Amino acid sequence: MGFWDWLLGRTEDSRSVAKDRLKVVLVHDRAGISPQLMRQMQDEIIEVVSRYIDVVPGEIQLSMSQEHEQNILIANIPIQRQGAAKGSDRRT
Amino acid sequence: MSGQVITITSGKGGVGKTTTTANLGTALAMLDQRVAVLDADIGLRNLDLVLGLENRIVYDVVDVVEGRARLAQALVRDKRFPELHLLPAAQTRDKSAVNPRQMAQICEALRPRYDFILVDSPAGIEQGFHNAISGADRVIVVTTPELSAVRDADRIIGLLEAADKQQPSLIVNRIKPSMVKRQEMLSVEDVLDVLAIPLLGVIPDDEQIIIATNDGTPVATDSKYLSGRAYQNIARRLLGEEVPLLDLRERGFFERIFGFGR
Ligand SMILES: Nc1ncnc2c1ncn2[C@@H]1O[C@H](COP(=O)(O)OP(=O)(O)OP(=O)(O)O)[C@@H](O)[C@H]1O
Ligand SMILES: [Mg+2]
Repeated sequence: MGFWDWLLGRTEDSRSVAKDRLKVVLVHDRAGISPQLMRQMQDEIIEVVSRYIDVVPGEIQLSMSQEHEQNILIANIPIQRQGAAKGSDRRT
Repeated sequence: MSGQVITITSGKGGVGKTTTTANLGTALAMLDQRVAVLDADIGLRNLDLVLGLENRIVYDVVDVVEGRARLAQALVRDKRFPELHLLPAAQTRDKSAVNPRQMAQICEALRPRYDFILVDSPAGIEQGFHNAISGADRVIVVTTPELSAVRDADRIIGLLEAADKQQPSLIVNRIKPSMVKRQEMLSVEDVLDVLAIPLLGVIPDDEQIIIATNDGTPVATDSKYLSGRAYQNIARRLLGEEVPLLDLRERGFFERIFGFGR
């Protein structure tokens, strides 16, 4: 980050922001999966997983990215520490 | 020897397909190639204007398809470059006036008489696009370094793959080296990184292109201009020559005065 960026309080340059946004949108375009569909899929995944494990509600993240020409779907599902009551919305 | 059919397309509108077609056609004709440029943007004819041939049109591609004119009658000759001919689009009809099979037939009919047949595609992914690529041996995708243009280019690349076309090559148009330097614009490398197709050339953003279009003389006729040289280089690459990319960086004040920096 340059001096001016620091002075103006800019964190990331506009070129990198553009490139990151582009990559995300292209992964979705290429796989034919819209953000709405992702949300729907996320809800269903939570439903299935929480039948077996206590997950931390509100901290589940489903995302897509690209690695070596391969599109991948990443599900980040934090689980409750053992002993925590099922359905509680705080980590203990 | 039979000619090569090359379609210039983009997905997004206004990124420079027509400018590219006109300039590559002109640059190839200057290299003694026999060139036909074909305006496939039916209803929104523009290639004639960029080439300065708008007053010489008698027939258009729809007249040929519907049998009112022979192909040879419809081709407009360019007085400045005897080897450059234009097949104009119809202005009063729409894209459905021609279908992909008919377009491919026209390309086939032109093939024996020319070295290059360049097809200027309309924007979009509908019939006009399918018309434009139907006869193509190879496709050039034009994009600008902007999110929406690159996204649309990616879509087009997918559609070309689905249509079993050879992998297209890329022209990045309207690069502003000073903005890239300030990290305010996607660089050519960024665009290549996401689109992952071979680079054919880079055209700088250049006011001279607008001035050249004003009087219907493509900038490729003048090596004085960076953009003109960039088009000439792409033409030579199409002929199989290996030509290094131009250094598009503008020289700063001190560099220009004292000649250092390069
Ligand atoms: N490298 C450049 N520098 C400056 N201006 C440019 C450049 N390339 C194209 N232009 C200008 O951008 C405008 C759009 O270009 P052009 O008509 O070639 O785009 P197009 O892709 O054919 O558009 P359409 O999708 O409507 O057919 C024109 O005014 C043209 O002069
Ligand atoms: Mg056009």
